Amino acid sequence: MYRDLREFLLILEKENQLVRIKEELAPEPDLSAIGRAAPDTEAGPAVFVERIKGYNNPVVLNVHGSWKNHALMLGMPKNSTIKEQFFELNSRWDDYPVKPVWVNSKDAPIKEVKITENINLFDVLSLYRINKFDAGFYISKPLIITKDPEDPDNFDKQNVGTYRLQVKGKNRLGIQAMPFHDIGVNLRKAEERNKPLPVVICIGNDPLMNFMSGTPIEYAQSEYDFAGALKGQPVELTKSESGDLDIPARSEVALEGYIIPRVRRVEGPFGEFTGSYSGVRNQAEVVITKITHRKSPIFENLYLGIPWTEIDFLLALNTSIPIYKQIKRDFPEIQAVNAMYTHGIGVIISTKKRFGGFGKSVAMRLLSTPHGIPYSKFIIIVDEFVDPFNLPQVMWAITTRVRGDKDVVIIPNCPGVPLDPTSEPAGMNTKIIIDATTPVAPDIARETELLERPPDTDKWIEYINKNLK
Amino acid sequence: MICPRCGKDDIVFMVKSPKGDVWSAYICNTCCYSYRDTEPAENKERELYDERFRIDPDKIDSCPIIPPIPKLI
Ligand SMILES: [Zn+2]
Repeated sequence: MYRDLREFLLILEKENQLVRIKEELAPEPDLSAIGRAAPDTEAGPAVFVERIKGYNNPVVLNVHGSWKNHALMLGMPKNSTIKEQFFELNSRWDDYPVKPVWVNSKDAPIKEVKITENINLFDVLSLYRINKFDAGFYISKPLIITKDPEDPDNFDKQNVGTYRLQVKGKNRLGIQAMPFHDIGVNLRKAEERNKPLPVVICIGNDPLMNFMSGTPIEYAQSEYDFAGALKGQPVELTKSESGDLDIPARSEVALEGYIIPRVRRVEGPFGEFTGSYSGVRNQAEVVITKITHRKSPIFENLYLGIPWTEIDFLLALNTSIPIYKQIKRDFPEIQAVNAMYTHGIGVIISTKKRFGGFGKSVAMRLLSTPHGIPYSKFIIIVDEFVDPFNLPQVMWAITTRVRGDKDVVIIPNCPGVPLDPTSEPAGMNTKIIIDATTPVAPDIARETELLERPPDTDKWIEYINKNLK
Repeated sequence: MICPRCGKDDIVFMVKSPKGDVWSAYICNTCCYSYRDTEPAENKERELYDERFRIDPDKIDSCPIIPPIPKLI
């Protein structure tokens, strides 16, 4: 298993999932266009840009931006299906926690270079505008590490999250810390005491760390312990220069500083995962006081656009698995959960039926999970033999199972996510349930007999695949 | 200099390219909009800045505050 971004890029290159660009490119519009283009290609490779006009260091884009890269991130064969990746992740999830190991500063690559004065983000990071009407240059793929100011010695409550950062000066960033995010909780506790909140922002990370930082886990669960479980080996941490935070020892860059207490300044808009621009808001700001980094640090960033772009791969199965775990606990009939559409706004669940109307019960259980309450809006329930990751099969279920008068339910004026452009007023939305399962007693439906797969079909699939040149 | 986005005369120099002297970046102290001088004119000039994304400098204070600032304890 790779230990960091650099080792993972070598794997991608060996598997033909990385393209290197050697000629010098302009920061705008080249880096934005490459971020859009890479996931639109069939292979969906990462793109490593070696030279950018006026900058010292390279950029890598689309590291997570295909199911092939995603499979390699999990150490699986690159052609593994989405369903195979789902069940592999689901089983590794139960290995939590795998505790990290700590290495000394001298053994931590992230400490190779230390900058303590004349902080200039542009010296280290090849910053650029991601979408044309973003308010400025954004860092879109950071790990942001903070502690609970009321419980600073509790490792499990240390939060590692991804929140967008707008560059507002050589040593200053705007940060989006929503009150319902863990960092929002930590910031509130610091601001109640009028104290700065120490933060470290890590860039160019182990791809499984980025995967975990976007996963909705509980406040007192550690992202590091989860990443260790998914990797099957502990992650390596080291101590930050200040603020007593635990940071990945092998990331490319660490920006250390603090959130200024009780100050908000204008931030945004920013092209978001919904495929549209966010609004303009007054948000918190970070001052950077120290930088440590590896030699020739790689700036890893991500493009967001109308799906699918890299962000959609990064928010796909890590949204699906926690929901699956939560519902499966009460409803063992559940087979799989596909919550990959716009961070779980759209969800497809396959299930066996306990009795008539059960599909609707499953949908309502989803709508009472922590993530489902605000996010999930468009819910499709399919039979246990339908693969929820296979959209043609899901469309078959809708076209041949759904009775418009009985199986489509609209629940108005429920909680919603403000980032959803249909949420009106922001924070409210209407839920739609489509039950595309086959009715069972006491519900009644016309008799239908399903076609069966001929014997040896799987054998012939293998034969055909093997004989394809 | 005039901010392309909010129209205030409040654009200041932010940084020049760390390698060679090939570009400079600027930022508005009123609305925090920033740009690089090698970007297209629609990102740099007030007259060409898209109407849909302009902002009124007098309305910035009334934009939502995220997260809310809590009471001191
Ligand atoms: Zn302005």
